[in-house]
Amino acid sequence: MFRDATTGKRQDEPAIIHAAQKGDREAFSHLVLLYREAVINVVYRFCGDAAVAEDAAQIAFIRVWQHLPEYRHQTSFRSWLFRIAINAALDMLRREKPSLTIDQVMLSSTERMDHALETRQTREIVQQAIIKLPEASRIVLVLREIQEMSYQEIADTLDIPVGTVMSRLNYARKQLLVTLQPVKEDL
Amino acid sequence: MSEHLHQWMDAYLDGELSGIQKIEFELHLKECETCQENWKQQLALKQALTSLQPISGLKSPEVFLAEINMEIGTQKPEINFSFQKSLWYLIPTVLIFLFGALQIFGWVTGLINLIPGANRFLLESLPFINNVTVTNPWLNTTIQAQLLWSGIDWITDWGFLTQIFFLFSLSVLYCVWIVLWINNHQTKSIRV
Repeated sequence: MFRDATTGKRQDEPAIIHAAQKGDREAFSHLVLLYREAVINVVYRFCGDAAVAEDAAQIAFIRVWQHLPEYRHQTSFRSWLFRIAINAALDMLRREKPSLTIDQVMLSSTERMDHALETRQTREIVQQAIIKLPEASRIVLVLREIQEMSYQEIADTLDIPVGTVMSRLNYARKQLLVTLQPVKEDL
Repeated sequence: MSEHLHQWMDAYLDGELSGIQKIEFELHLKECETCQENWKQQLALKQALTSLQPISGLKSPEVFLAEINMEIGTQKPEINFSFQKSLWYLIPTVLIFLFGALQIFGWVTGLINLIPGANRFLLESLPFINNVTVTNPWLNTTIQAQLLWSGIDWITDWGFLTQIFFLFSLSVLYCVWIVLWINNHQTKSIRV
């Protein structure tokens, strides 16, 4: 059960999903508005480009609509949705934005030191450090830190064992600590 | 506790440790300076990650939704039937039914009697069980008693109808199991 963002009325999510599966556009719109921001944020933290994140989120919701009958209620809808969104983002990054590389978005260590005085810039540096992470570790970190998913939820979303989630998360955090070492005092 | 518990650090930070593990880790953290230093770094990193403010998107929710609706158009959600994917389930299922149908055909027409020993069923046809029960008559008595006690002693009376009923039941159970398995596992393999 969750609350409607606008009316505050309690809604039964499985019932909304069920209605959307039968072709109810209003129920689907409700799901889109409910998860829009979460999906955009996960993809944005993953790729670091707001426009790509929004486009990938839209593609993800279109795919969700097309494949809704295939969704089984045994798994969490959020996990299913994020898996689709991540796949959409990966497809976009690989096919449409091959030029978006880490080198382009990363600042040099000296630059980082200079700009770390401002909180906003520190956030930017953290975001860039996330993008520098390998894809597999990055998505685990984003799902954990941005969506606060449990290890089991992350495992379900990415279809990997919980042990792999733990090792990738550990690797991601260690790498972040190394990358952010020059601006450690500002964290 | 002499060893560092670095491997528990992430799980503790994410609230994934069980009660006893949590207490054990906290006790260790009080004593171990190396882990305390690591803990401080992890906390700072956690705070830095938490400070990342969420973005609300470049388009308004209404525009975002309208563009999706425009793209979807009038199409309805449909199950995309993949013939190639269904072959993985279709071929073994058809083979099982074909095998069962051939057996029944053999029994009905008497053709099965042409194969030595084929008109007998499980217990008699399995040499291992046969040999054991021959050399250990008490085992046979025990099995018979167990079957009688559990109400399925009729299973040893391999009449024609019993055989068909038994095989049919096994086939149905197998197919039900296959359907349930597919139902529970296919969502994992779908890459949308």
